[in-house]
Amino acid sequence: MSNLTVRSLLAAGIFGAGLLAGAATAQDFNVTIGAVGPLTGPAANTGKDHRQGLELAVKEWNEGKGDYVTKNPPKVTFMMEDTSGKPEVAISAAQRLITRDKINMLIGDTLHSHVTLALMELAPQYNLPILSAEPVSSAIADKVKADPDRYQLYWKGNWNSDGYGTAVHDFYTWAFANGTVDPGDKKIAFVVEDTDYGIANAEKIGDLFKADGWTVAATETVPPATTDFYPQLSKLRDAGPDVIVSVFTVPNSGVAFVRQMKEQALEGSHLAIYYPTKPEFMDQAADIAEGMYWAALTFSSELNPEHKAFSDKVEAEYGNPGTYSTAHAYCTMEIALRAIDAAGSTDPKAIAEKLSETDYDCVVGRAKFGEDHAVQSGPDFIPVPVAQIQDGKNQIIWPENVATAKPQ
Amino acid sequence: MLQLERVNVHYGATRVLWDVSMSVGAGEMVAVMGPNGSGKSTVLKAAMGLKKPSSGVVSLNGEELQAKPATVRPQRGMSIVLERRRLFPRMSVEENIMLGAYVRKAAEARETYDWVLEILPEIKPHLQATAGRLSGGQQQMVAIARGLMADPKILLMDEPFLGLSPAMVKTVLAIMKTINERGVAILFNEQNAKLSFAVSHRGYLLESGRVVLSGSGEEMLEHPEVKRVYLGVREAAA
Amino acid sequence: MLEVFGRHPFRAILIWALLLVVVPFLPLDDYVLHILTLFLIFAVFATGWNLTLGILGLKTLGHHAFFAIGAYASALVSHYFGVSPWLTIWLGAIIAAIAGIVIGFPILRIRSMPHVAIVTLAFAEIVRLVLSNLKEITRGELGFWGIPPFDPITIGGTTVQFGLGNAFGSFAVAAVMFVGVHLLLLMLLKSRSGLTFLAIRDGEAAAESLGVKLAAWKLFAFGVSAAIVGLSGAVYAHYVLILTPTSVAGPDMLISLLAMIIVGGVGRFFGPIYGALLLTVSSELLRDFGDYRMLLYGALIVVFVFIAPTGLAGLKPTSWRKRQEAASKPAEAT
Repeated sequence: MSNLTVRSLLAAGIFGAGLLAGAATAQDFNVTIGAVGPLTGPAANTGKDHRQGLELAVKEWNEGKGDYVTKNPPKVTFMMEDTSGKPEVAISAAQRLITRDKINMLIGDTLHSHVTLALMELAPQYNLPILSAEPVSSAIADKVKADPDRYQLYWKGNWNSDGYGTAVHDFYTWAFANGTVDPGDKKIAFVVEDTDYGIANAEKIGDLFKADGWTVAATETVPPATTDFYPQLSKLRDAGPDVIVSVFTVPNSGVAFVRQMKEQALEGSHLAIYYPTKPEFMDQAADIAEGMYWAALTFSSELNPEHKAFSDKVEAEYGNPGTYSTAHAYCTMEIALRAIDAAGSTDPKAIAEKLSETDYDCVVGRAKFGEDHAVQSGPDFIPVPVAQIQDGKNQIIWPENVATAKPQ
Repeated sequence: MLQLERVNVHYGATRVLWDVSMSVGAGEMVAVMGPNGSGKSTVLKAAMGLKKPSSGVVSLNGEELQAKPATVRPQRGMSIVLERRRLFPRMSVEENIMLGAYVRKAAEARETYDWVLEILPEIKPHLQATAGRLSGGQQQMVAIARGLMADPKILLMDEPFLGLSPAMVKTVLAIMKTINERGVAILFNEQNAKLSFAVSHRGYLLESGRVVLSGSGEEMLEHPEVKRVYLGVREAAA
Repeated sequence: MLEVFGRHPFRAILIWALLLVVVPFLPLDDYVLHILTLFLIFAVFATGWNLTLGILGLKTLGHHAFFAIGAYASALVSHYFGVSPWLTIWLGAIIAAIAGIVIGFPILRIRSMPHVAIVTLAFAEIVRLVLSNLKEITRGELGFWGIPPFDPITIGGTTVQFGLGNAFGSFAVAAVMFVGVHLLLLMLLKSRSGLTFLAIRDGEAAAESLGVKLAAWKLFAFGVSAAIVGLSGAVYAHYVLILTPTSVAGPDMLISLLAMIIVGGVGRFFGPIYGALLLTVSSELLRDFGDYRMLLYGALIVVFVFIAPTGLAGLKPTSWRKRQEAASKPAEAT
């Protein structure tokens, strides 16, 4: 235990020395940023996109092409380690970055919420600012709210998982008000995948609709990758809902559901969550899904010139088009770099302070942190746009400020 | 002391023993002889409880045991030397032998251990060797030693001569005689008629799961049927 | 027995204990201590599994379920009822042991090893599904957080803290568990019980004919094995402080632990320790190779299985001193 005392003394000494050194060379400082994400395992593809986005932002920053806050931006060293998607491996990776590479800030996890729940513990332990990238779980924000003091150095670079629910509810409220959709008997039904993602979305949307005086006519859960929905659809026929919401992460489930729903000629407005983002869905079902609403068209090179420009930039650098994940990682790094730049030092508290003041328009939207340290979603922040398939193509129809077409 | 009465054994739907009745008296050496597949191994397994009879009675000193597992027999004075020795190959010889006294108190086991090594002095130099590395004959002696460690009143031996050299067959036969002379009854099985009946007090001939002949060792050897069928093909069988 | 334990097993454990006592006095950073802590936890896990897999010879492939049960049981009770983790880890071990005995019953009736493998694998899958569906209690795949770390201990004015980031305390807990479990297990296995387990592995019929009650002993082994694995899971939970059904009971855990046992030596007492050390440490050392890390990691496992088909422990069945001599004839140990 005496070595702990020695270590803390040592740390204090180094910190003190760092302060002095910082005072002497305030004109020019270096910062080391580490990231951890799934570079191997099932999510490796997304992890690779994250790395490209993060690296691209750092590259531009160091080459004088960054979006700087001050005139003396720091020089950035960046490195990323693999988590394999496992919490204990992520902690190994993060501790290696902290102790070996002496990072001043950690971006992590770039994808997984459960890994982030573990990583955020390192913020108070190592006095290290941590900014997670794409994880959405509300549990992370709940944890911050439960002990804001402990997690003052932790920030969540994506909106909470109820973002979809809020978007779906707000879209329908808008659509009822302008007569696009008829609320009828105010009955809503769900057919969702039996995962946290599916169930959490159904619960959130159900709660918001119930508050408006709606009833939930049915909540049908199916195992992931289900392709036979006749039992669920005949139940829906009896229930006669006015709005049907489906959530699947496997595109084939979505294709089968949409096709069988068309065969059964079910009435009511249908909104799909997540699966239409997959190119496989559009390839197979664009014709049968005509007129369907879906969420969320967060990244589209075809519709959004800004997204197109970013995707082209990624393509020029890495030879593959940019995705939402590339763009989100890029923005996360921008947010981190700008906060450090604004803080003018690597002091963790100062960086956290500047992070909290973030209000920045990036390619995926406007980043501003809420009370719970999570980036906010919604029309004014990072939009969760609802799209409609019109003439076999996707069009954003809501929110109006980013819409590319009127609903049909 | 050991009594089998109208014992029937099935392997699935196949009946392998048909109303087999046998007995072994105290201090007797009894052979079960029969060709391959006649069921002579099953007789020993049924007696030991390693194979549950579908009907019939197995009794030891008057106590019915057919429904009880094999594990109760060592305490009641019955043990078995399994076919192909079945030593624990990765343990030392000493560990193998001591496991024979599994159900007994350590102090009693020590006494038996000394007695066993006196009967089987050939084992002594190999006590620390790994059992699986011994020759077939040495392994058979260790297996017999292990069987004796339960201090049995009756020792069952399943094919004790299988795969042994002629010299080793003689040695094992001599050991069996010694053990028997010390008052331990032996029930063993063997394909070879001469080996079976030359040393045993009594014998049974088993064919297709049925006892077809029984009598004293001499009677069995002299029986015309045995002479014609089994002694005639002795050279080939050996 | 020699093959299972080596020549001086108690001396080997003493050496391990001494090495572990020295570690905190070395100038090691938190990262190294964290890797060593993971190694110790996984070594205990692998040793517990090896009891049924190697020492008893039952092809059980579902022990990650006991890891998950121990981890979740301890985490849930300490979180919801405010019981100290110092107590709940034992509860985790006991609940895992009960689960082990329960799953042991059907396995007793199965003679075919592939079926044993499938039944145990299916059991682990059931446990994973139950944990991910009991969302009100476990929060499912979102992850169970809010697990308290071990309560701090004050010795002579110095307070030792535990949990993530408190590298020394966490290492100490894992080290004490590592030495304790291996010492107690060695004492058990060096007694008549160990001989009985090996007898069952090498010849069930022979063991039964000698009076070994197979069913009772197998259930006992299942209970002890699951308890050890459950304990390691509980310590893991209060160290990493986050559990998800997939990360503790998913196929990745099965594969990495099996790799540790196979590389180290199935059925050899010290095998899983070497396997856990090699694989935990090398997967971190290979970080220097960037994108080639997992490729090299896989190649490393293949190479070790080739040069030491009976495991690392098989390379030196006698002692550290005779390593060279034994390494020249590894095939003989089979």
